[in-house]
Amino acid sequence: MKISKAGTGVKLELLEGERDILTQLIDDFREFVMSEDITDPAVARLFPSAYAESEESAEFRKYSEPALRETKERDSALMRDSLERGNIVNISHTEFDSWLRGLNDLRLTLGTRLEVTGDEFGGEIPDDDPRSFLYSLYGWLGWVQGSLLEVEF
Amino acid sequence: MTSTSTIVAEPEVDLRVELARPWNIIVWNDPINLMTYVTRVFMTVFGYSKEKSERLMMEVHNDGRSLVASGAREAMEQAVTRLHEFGLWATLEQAS
Repeated sequence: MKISKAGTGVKLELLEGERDILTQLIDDFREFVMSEDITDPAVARLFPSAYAESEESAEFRKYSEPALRETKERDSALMRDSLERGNIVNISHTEFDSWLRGLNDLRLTLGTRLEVTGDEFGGEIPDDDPRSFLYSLYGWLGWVQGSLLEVEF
Repeated sequence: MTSTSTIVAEPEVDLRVELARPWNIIVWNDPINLMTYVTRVFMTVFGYSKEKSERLMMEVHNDGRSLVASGAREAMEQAVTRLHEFGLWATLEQAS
């Protein structure tokens, strides 16, 4: 993938395989974010408690969670639609936050599932580990998000 | 339950003081969010300068948590929802 500044926005040039995998990740996410299983650690991470007290937390959740779910739905749909149009994606200034949030949602989901601690990239994951592909995806998403931020700043 | 009615004095709570105590937003460290991303989110959500946002991000990173904003409950709850939208792990607590 090539990431460059284009006017007030950012241009992504994806390889066919990159576009397929990103689309797949988004589709999986969209399916999973609709599940309201708060015992799933990835769901719990995406919809965190705002208060230490469970009663206050539940009260807060009542109005914040639908809004949160709607944002995730909208951001992921925007990314999905942009990718559907081709291998070159122009992210406008107004779409930029949606991409940042949407990519972050994918990283949070993968990272929680992989139980990352932040020290994974010292090469301790052997190639024959069944999780090594997911780790490489997780690392790649971090690179994409980091590059978007670098281009913007 | 006892049938003897005893009047127990309520501890005195000054409601005005209670309501005036601000609410703090705490952002907690997590191993997933990128440092540059967390900085960018503080700039977006609170309108802080890059320098201030970086300082708060480093506090989260080094101390495990940082008090990033303080104010009236409703406004702070709205800000926490925005932080959650961006995937930051943020909680609210009333200032002591």
